[in-house]
Amino acid sequence: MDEEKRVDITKYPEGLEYLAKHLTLPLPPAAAEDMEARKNYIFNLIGTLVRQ
Amino acid sequence: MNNEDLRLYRAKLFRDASSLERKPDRIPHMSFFVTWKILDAGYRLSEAMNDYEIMEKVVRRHQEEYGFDCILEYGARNAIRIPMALGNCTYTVNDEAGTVNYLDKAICEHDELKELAADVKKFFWEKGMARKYDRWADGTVTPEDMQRVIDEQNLFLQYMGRINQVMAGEYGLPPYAAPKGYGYIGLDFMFNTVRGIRGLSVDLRKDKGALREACEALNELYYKPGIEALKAAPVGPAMHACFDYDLTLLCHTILNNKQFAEWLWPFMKETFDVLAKKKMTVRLFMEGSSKRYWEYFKDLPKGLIVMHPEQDDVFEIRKELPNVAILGGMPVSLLGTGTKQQCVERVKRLFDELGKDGGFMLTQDKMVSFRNDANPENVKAVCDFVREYNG
Repeated sequence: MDEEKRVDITKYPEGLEYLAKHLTLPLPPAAAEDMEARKNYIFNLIGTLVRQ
Repeated sequence: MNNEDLRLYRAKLFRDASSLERKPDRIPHMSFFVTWKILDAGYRLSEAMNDYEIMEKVVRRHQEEYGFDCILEYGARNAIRIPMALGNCTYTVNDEAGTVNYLDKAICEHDELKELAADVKKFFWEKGMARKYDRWADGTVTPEDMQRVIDEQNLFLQYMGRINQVMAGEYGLPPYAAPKGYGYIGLDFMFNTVRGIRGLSVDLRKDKGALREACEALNELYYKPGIEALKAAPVGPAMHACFDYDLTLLCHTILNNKQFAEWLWPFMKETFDVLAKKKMTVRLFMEGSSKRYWEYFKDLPKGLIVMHPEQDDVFEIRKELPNVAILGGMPVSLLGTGTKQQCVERVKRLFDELGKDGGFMLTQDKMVSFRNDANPENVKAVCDFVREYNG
């Protein structure tokens, strides 16, 4: 974790990988462990944030 | 009539009016009041926009006070809590003036269009976010900050689920639209978010090739998946909602006819064709004026388009486009500065000239946002008149 903490989350794709792996996401149980679903969720959030 | 029956009855009023074939039982009345309803309820904008319990009270009061057949906005616009979890956002709330201002901030420069086209995700992640959020730009953002954003988005979605249930179950209000997939057109995305008004105006004249590449990349990510989802949707309208789809456009305001034909119409046409095939109805809200593009709409089938004009004259639309239904007709300028008598006379004329054979639904011509946009007494007089005149 200490090593992973040094990941610069503002860089792509390493930031996406890190956040998708470590954050608590409100996904249905069937998708909660699916890394593609987790990455899609995070990127959709980024898309929302740049549109705000 | 219980609330479940009332909700379906109200949705049917919009469906019948939209069809241009069936005359509705009465002319439906939609609320296009946005932040105005917060001020009308006696709250400061920042209070309601930061507290979903207050926002729920605002929306409930709006319906209790005026009694619309549908409310287009339940407090979802300017959802400032989500971006504010990162420390700043492009909305500025001024409680003293009762205004929300949006900073037209481009996230991409003209000479970066090819970089955007090469990898939209990377560009949004590294440059788009940095240009919107100070802490992303200076590298101080943490995973904990992003967790807060997710938690805020979740709270917002919970509020939306709750308010939709409350307004349907306790007030008998239908949702205004039930889209089965939404294709966000690349050029409008460029206008709204990526390049802004000035930037896109420059791109259209300076380097169309780079702009086209960027639009195509955005379409791959946002338009195509939406239109494919729509194509895969079952045939038939969602009768529990007033409309099936919402298409709100802004970028046409800076286009000429030739640019419209080249950059926007092909995507609009594709969307309309899919909707027509599915026997669905779209609320089309083109901000500003759409008059110079009406030629394109003349051959579209009846029952497809419900045009909600912002600046164009509804009587002229009926004359020039008898194949489209009309949602609108009530000028915000009249609600704000006219007398009760003038407002009521306007509604009577709309009902008598546009509504008597169907194809007309009443609402405001603009999003009602500021305190002076509407005098509450005028709004009340209009709503009372609509109920009495409809019988």
